[in-house]
Amino acid sequence: MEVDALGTRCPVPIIRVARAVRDLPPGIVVVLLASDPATGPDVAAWCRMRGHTLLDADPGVGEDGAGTRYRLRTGCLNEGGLDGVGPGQRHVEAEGKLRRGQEPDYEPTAN
Amino acid sequence: MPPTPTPSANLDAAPGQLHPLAKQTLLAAIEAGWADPRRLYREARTARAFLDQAREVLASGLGTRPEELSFHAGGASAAIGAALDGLAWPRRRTGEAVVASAVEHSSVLIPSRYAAAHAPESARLIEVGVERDGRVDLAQWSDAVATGGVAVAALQQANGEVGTIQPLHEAYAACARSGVPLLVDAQVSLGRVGAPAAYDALVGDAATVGGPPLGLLVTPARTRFARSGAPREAEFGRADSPVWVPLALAAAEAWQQSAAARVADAAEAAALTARIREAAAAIPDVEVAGHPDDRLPHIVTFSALYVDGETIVGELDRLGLSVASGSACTASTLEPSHVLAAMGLLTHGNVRITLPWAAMAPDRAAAIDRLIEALPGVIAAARARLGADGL
Repeated sequence: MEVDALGTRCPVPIIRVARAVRDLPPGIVVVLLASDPATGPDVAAWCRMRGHTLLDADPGVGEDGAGTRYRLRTGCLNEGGLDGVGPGQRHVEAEGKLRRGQEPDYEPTAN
Repeated sequence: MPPTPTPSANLDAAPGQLHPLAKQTLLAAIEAGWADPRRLYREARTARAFLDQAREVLASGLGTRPEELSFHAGGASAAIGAALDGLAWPRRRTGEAVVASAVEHSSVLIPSRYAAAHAPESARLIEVGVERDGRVDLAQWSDAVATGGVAVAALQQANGEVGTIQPLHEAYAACARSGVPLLVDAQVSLGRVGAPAAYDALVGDAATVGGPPLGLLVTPARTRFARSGAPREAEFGRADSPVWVPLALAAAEAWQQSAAARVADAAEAAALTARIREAAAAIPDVEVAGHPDDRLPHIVTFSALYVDGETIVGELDRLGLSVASGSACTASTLEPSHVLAAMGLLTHGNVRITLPWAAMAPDRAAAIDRLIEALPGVIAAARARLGADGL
């Protein structure tokens, strides 16, 4: 699945990808295309908050090359969440933790 | 009947207003202390006496000697530039690399990144990552300062966006082990909390205590310090230009006033920011940034998922509450906050509050009440507008 948010400003890319993965089961790989400079840190933080895993980020996407292609895998919190916990209360650390102050510690790309 | 005007409260004291007595001093000094203190006639001698007096007050407050304190007319950024240059130049045979945390102020990072990009052979910038609470990774820091070719290291006393206080004692010890001089950037903290004890150079800003923007640089006599380039006359050879005497006097007045109020003001401010932290954290999908305890008393920031910073700042402004934001897409910048990004936090939907001193904002507790009451509705409305509720 691919979500195109090229040319939109924060927080629209995150809202679009959140809407797209809303009803997906865990383990699905989703692609987000975005050119807003805030998307890099924001998609990583959103994945952490929602239990998804950010797999990788490839720059140089789009007509002017200003976009980035983010790949993420939906997490287990996506299928109805924890028992009785609504979307607003999902404060769980994702497995793919970031080394703070650096690029995300991506998993090896699995095709 | 006309609507009651909304009371207006500034919650973005970065910098804040002048302290009323600093303003009075500034106006009086414009009348009496305008002359060039290096001249030899009566008005100049008056100006000289004022400048010496201002330096003594501030040096004494910082626990240093007057000749170890220089004023920098270009503000904290100018003092930072002078400090990095003056610490690095005597060590140029060792190397030119700079070590800094990834959450340092842009006045540290941007010139160092520029130098590294334009002279990659010699000048390097080693950016050290931080924990999610904003504290520098000490193991990484120790490794970085032990790298060969490091001229100088820079670490803030506390972060101006999230308030986290850095483990300066440990960071300084690591620098001392490697023989690397440490610049402590206290431009948002000096005067709000006690001055740090361990540093080779210290930078502050008189604006932090309700003075005019004026860079303060402390270089203890034991520190090896020499500016590169042509010799300078101003401020013991440390500054690029002389200070305007009325600014120094107003800075000293603000320091005296705030020093007398500091402990009580900080206790009250810490309680107010703790209330904001608690109220923000209770809103769904809002993350409060920074260390919960080791933090500046007057700064708090949080980010709301699926909200844009511009909307939230605008809505709070309509309610008479002035706040800052580290989000991109707000008026001041197109880039998101490098501090929030380095901490792994959301950069959108960000609100940053820097409490003014009670002397300048006696109604600040009432403003916090209004903020806390307004936040849940403002955030919910912003999410609804973007069709993001329930995501």
